[in-house]
Amino acid sequence: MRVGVFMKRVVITGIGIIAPNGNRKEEYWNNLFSGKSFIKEDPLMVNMGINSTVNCTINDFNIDDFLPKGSLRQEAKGQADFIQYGVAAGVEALKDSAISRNSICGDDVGLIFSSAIGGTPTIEKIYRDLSNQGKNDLVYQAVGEHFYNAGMINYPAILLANEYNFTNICTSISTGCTAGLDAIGMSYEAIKSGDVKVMLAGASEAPLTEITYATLDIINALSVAKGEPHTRSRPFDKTRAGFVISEGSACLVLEELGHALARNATIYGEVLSYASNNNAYHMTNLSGDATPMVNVIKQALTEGELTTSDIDYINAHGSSTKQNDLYETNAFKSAFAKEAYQIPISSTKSMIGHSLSSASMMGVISTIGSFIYEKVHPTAHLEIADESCDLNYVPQNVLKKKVKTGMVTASGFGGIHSVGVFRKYQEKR
Amino acid sequence: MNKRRVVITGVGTVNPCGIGKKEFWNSIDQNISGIEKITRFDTTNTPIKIAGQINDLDISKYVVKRTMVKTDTFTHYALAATKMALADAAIDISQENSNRCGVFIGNNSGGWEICERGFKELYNDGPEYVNPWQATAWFPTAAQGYISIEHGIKGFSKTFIADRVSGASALYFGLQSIINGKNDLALIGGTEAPLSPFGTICYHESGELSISTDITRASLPFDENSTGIVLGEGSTILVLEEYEKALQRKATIYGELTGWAMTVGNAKDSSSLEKCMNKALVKSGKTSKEIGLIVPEGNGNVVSDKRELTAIKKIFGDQIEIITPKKLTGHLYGASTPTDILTALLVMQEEKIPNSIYKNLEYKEDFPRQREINSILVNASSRKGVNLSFVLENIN
Repeated sequence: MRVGVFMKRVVITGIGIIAPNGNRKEEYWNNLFSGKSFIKEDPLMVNMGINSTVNCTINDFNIDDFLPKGSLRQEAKGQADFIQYGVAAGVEALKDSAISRNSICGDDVGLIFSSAIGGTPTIEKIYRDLSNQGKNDLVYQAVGEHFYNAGMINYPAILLANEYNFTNICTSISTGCTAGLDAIGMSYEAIKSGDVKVMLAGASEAPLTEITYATLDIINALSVAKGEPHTRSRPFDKTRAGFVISEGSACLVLEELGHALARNATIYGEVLSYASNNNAYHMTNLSGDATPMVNVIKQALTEGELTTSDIDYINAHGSSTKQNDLYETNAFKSAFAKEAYQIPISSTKSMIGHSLSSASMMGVISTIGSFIYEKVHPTAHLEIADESCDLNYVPQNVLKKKVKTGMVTASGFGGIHSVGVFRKYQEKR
Repeated sequence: MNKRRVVITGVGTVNPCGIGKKEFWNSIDQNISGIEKITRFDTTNTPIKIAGQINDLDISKYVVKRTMVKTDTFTHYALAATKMALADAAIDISQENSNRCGVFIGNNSGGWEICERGFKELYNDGPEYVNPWQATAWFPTAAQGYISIEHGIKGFSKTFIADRVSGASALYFGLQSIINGKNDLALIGGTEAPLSPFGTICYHESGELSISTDITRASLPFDENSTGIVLGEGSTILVLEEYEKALQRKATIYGELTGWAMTVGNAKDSSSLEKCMNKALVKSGKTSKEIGLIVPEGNGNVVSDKRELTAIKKIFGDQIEIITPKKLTGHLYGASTPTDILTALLVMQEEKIPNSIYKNLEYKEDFPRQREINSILVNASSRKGVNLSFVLENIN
């Protein structure tokens, strides 16, 4: 235990995931490496007459499969979907990390969760119920606590804290599409500061409802790509035309290395660094020169005492919008110079769409899969090269590669960029 | 390297008791309430009839028209408070400091007016008529986004949703971003604009709100006859700065944040709140006897108030004085703790206690109020048991 005496190291010791391509991590990784897309046409979107008609959904989710009978299951059941997904992923991550209510000192454990838009489907349904399907002004009827909780992004974290008797910090952030990575980064920093030994970092999103489709479609954010529905998220492809909205939840147990070793925890990887900034440019548009994202990449490298040649995989934000994928490509070129052309880069969103806050946390789990299986998942349906996006995006087929150090990037509404660097665990850093 | 310290060098507020710190101080000093009958919309068909409401705010003084149309009221309030806070701190965000300045905001559930507007457009006119700003105006991070864009702020920044401790969470992580060296400067605070039919229904369903129509008897923290929390709106933004940097530029220092802590536990049992206050005291190096005043969560919810009073009595005894600005503003949720911090700073600056306190479990008005107070504890706690405590010290 000589390492970690001077600087606290933070490792990942538990994974929970509820994703369109798998409600268990092994299933998630298998599907990723097979390059299979789970994107489908949605009859509701077709019926609405909007431009985009595809999404990616969680199937066969039943909270009873994840939670034993008891007060937590009882309480979670009546709540908005994002709360149910979040609690289920949290329970899975803790189980995976062999943490139970009595196996750990509750004072040592904290939680940071995240969601971009929380219980919007629940809120929309309540609006309809109270306004005669939207035709009239609102007239109050008793709805119940789940209405307030649907807006309360901190609710999954609170339910988990109470159930497991965790008593350290507990909060939630709402920084849109970077939020999952932010929850990891802030948890990592909390452990490094010495205030807490174990953190549950979560992200949960269940945005699939009419108001979400309408608000994103009207600003041309959603995919209008041509071709088979399952191919319509195609990051870095010349014919890409918007992102595919999706849902899902992810949760990671982060732990101070010494604490993890002392309890013989399975270590999936190490968090080496995290950085995040604002571009202070526009809520949704990106500036031409990608400087803000270059800065945050450089900051993450500096913070982790890394050089560009240390990075041997990038799980990109790669949302499949015209703007993002070009911007991100330019940022990689500027930050990594010539090396940008060598590093394999892939986008998980090519197969399971964009689940807002939880997408970047799923990207981290994809990266951990690369550590374990020594494979890089492909960017599916990247078929037509874009001359401006000319890096190594691992098109279509899985790449066999021993990945040691992976970078995960995320950008989101509000002009936020976040970057995390993760490493396959080794005793000596 | 010396330990980094965090001081507050600028404040801005728009809340039911005043636009700007002077008006706000005047109201709390004189015990003038901002709670009134809701006039923002017709409350005939909705359950909440009174609230802490902002009137007479000319938002065009603070927000340019092109931003105004694209944003919800909660962002307007935050932009107004930010502008005041930066002016008060006499600091410009420039090329030089923009990468080391952050924005930390607490907000619950985003924009309620734009939310209703979007639903009306969707259901009455169709999806192609939903306004193009819906996505960026509704979500809670809109305030952070627009503040960063308007002022060119590029450093580490985050937005928090955590019920009554949203703003306290923003303060906790914002101040630590300075302590840990990520930022030298941070705008921290909260903003809330829930006074719409749908917004008030949502808050009402938390089960904690007062449905009283009597503005004089509605917001009664620590009173056993309290009918619940009275909702309020507004924003408070504080400029937090690394101490050495503040000294270098000869900034006016309102106070130093020397203690902070966050815990979670049972919302009915007081032990996790006690632990939180004790942790904050330890961090600040103060004993309970050195604390001159408490600004509590004290919100008028009988369960929450009883829990807090039990915890306070255990640590501070009966004689500690407690002021409850929520009695006058209503509960500002995301903006509540930043506003409580502001109150504490003004008490230290004015060397005067507002004209209503709780002492020995008794509510008092009209008593000798002029006194120097150098250490103040501020609490926040959420409906499901998250607690935060902060210790503020006068270092002038």
